[in-house]
This record gives sequence, C-alpha cells and structure tokens, in this order.
Amino acid sequence: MVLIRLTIKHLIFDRIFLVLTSLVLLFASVPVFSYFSMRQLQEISITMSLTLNSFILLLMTLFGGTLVIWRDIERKYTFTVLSYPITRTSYYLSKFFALVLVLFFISIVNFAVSAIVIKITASFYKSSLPIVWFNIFLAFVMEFLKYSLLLGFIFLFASFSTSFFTPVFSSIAVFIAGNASQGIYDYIMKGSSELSHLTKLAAKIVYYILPNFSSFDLVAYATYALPLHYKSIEFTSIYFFLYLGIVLSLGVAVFNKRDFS
Amino acid sequence: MEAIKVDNLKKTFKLKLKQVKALDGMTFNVNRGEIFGFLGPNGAGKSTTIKIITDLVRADSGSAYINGIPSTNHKARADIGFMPENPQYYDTLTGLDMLLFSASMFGYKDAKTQAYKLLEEFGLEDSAKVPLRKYSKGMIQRIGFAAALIHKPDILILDEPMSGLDPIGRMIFKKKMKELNRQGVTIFFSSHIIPDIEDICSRVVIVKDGKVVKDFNEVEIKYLTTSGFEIVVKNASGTGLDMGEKEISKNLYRIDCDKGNLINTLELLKDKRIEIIDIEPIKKDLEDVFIEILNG
Repeated sequence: MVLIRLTIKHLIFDRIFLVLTSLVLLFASVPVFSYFSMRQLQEISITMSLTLNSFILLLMTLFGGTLVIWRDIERKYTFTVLSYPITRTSYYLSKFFALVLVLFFISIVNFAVSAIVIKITASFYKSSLPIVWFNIFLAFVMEFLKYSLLLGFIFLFASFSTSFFTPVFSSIAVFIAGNASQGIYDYIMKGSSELSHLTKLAAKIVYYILPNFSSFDLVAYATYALPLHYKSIEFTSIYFFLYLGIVLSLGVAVFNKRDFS
Repeated sequence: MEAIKVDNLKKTFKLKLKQVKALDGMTFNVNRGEIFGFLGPNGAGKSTTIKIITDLVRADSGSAYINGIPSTNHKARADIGFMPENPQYYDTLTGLDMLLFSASMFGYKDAKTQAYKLLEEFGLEDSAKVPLRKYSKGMIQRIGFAAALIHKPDILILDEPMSGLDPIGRMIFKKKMKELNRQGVTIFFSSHIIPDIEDICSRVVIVKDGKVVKDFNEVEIKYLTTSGFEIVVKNASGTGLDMGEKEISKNLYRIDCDKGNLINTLELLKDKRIEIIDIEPIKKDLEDVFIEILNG
C-alpha cells in the first residue's frame, strides 16, 4: 500500500502527467464539434466523448507505464526501493495497480464530464434514439479494461528493457495489432479462399497470441443505444482477467530475473 | 553467526559482445559488531558484491547471507540499512517524507520523532520540508544515511557513503558510524578512500579482480601501517651511543628505529642505562600498504 500511495503521489506531481490530465479540458470542445453534424448531435457527442476518453487513457497508459517502471530503473530509484524488505513481485504489482487506480480515477472523471457534455449537446437537437446511460457507462468500463491490459504489456516490455523507446513503441505496436487483429482474422478466415491452409493456421496462432482489443469496443452500442450481448461482455471480462494474469505473470518472472547494475 | 556471509560469489556481465568477469570467487564474512572496510580499486567488484548482498544483482554461482538468511529472500533485508553509491531518491518527496517512507517500508510506524531527530543530527532540519530535487549532492548523501538509519537496523551497508561529502559531512558520518558501532551496529563500509577506512574500520578486506586478496584485523592494520618507532631518550650525551640520535631540546634526543629493530634498540639503551621518555610508532598510510599489496 505504501508503494501504491507513493507511486500515485509521484505521478500526480509529474509534469508530463499533469499535461496529460489537463487533456480532460478538451471535453469542452465536444459540443462545438458535435454541432457541425447538424442532426446527429447526440450520437456524435457520445462517440467523441468515448474517443477522447480512449485517447487520454492511451496517452496516460503509454507515458504513465513507461514513466513508472522505466524511470525507476533509469534513475536508479530501484536501488533504494528494492533494497527494502519487499519482493520484486510486490514492487512490480504495486506499481502496476497504482497506475490502474489512476486510470480508473481518470475514467470516472472522463465519464462524469462526458455525461454533462452529452446531456448538454443532446439538448440542442432531439435525437430519435434514447440515451442509454448504462451502455455508455459500460463502454467507459470496457475502455478502462482495454487500457489496463495495454498497461500490462508496457510493464512487460519495461521489465526487460533498458531504453525508453522499447516499451513505448512495442506497446504501440501491440495496440495497433490488437485493434486490427479481429478484422484481419475475419478477412483471412471468411473472405479469401485462395489462401493456403498454412497461412490460415499462422493467422489463427497470431490471432490467439495477440490481444483482441476490438472485443472491448462498445462505442456503437453506446452511440446507437443497441441492446447489449451480456454473454459477449462476460466472455470479454473473463478474457481480460486471464490475459492480464498471463501478461503480468510473464512480466513478474522477467523482472525477478533482472539485474540492476 | 556472522552478520554477513559471502561465499564464493561469481558473476560475469555481458557488455555488448564482451564478457566481463566482475566477481571471481568472492568470499568473506562480516562478524557482528565490526566496522568492516571493503577496500579496492575501481572495478574490483565492490559494488557488484554489495548489489548481490542486497539482491539487486543475482550471482551466477555462490551465495550471500544476511543474519543467516539467503540474500535472495526479501526477509534478509529486514534488519539492514542500505545506502547505495550516489543514491537517488524520488525527488518529489521532501526530506521528511523520504524518512517516513523509508520507515514505513520497514513496517516502522510513528517514525516522526525519530525522523526529526535524524534530520537534526545530519543538519537537515531546515530542509525537512524541501523536495529532494532541490537538495545538493551532500544533502542527498546525508538524507540517504538518515534513511538507512530510520528503522534502527542491526546492520548497515554503505557503498561509498562519503564520496562527494564536504569535510564537515565526513566528520558527521564518521562520528555517527563510530557511535552506532558502540551501540552494537555492524557496519559494512565500502570505499576506495583509504584514510576513511583507516580511521574507522576494525577490519579491512582488500579486493582486486573480483576476489579477496587480503583480510586484516585491527591489530594487523596497526602492524602494517607502522614502519618504525620514534624513541625519545634523556641524558644520552657522553654514553657513546651512536644510533643517529637527534637532539630535539636540551638533553632530549630522538632516535628512529625500524619496526624489526625495536627490541635490539631498547636492549642497547637499557645496557647504557639511558632513560627512555617516550616511544611512538611512525605510521605510514594504509594507502602505501594498499598499493604494495595490489602491486604484489
């Protein structure tokens, strides 16, 4: 708990993190941009709010994740912290969950601000669709889970890397691949019969190794008030916990082997 | 049981394509109540050994123990205070916060009184609420030492604690180390600054190329750093004494003799019934001894 508190405090006072937090102010621009859509103000404001939330969480995850572990190693803070009677596992997990808590708090703030922004924007032009707050809330929760999983990857890459760039760029690559994997998989499996069996098998393996971030995407359900498939959400939640467990276990195993010289 | 036991540690680092042997069978014990000096030139393996003891680096083979607990077990660090070389701390913390954080990591609550006491002892009371990023290097060393002491450890491990300190800071550190040792704290102290080691250590181990080359206790340190003796005698004139004596004041003479020749000189003085006023050892620096040993 002491380390979690310290990490949060250290982040709050970090200039880069403060700049990223101030991006919350961009929510004020959502009604203005929504107005350009003429008749779909409500739908656009919901989509934009979720996209902006996603953008803020992405930046927070990338920079926060890298700042926490990589900077501790680079600035040799680990020499002090790991010489205390704590295990490396508890250090690693404390740092991770401190950032998850920060992401959770920012998600709540973003949701609260979005709710105000959506309400205001929706009042400008009456939409034929209702605002289903539960769908919007769940979309925010899923985004939070998605970036927590991405954070697990950043921690994994930072556990063995000595440079700032490896965790950042590897995680961006994972993020892009994770968002595209479902589409590419569907295309290969259904769309093309010219591809060999081996290619399809390779695609299947890569598809199962890479995280599937598109399953966390509930933007369409939130925007168009579509009925939710609870089985699918349940499956995604289990997938999240299993995948995160594997990624964190790998990260902890690598971090436990590492030399701090 | 030894406070620290290091047994045949071996460690090789990969540096780009080269393999660098940092430790090559490092073996020694630190006994309870000692101020143990760990002396060696740069690259001898001092910091790597300390990092293995504090589990920051894992040995290729061999083992290290603190109070009989393997150093890879986090519980081994429960009774140690550690100050790394050129310490770096979370710079958003204030000096006081740093001490309280350190105390809480050892499960030591209500450390505020102890923290203020240490801040005062190390001359940092005015900077207690200043963030560490505004501290000078010397102040960081002091807060690092205070943080290593906040939980009242049994064993102190200090890696080059006095590098970059001003003379007052060095004096404070040495005084504190001696005081802690009198209270029963075992101190493991690595340095390449020989006068510091000579001044406070009760045992010195010299390392070179990743292994121990000499292990001296306090008596041996005294013997090795004594090159001869200065004997002050009275009424030597007219006795036919021919030992290169020099008159230092009226009727007082000084005779210098090698340390292997002391008994013969004293017997000769006794035969001639010359009154001995004082005998003082002539000291040479541990630095000279250190260089002699390193040069084989």
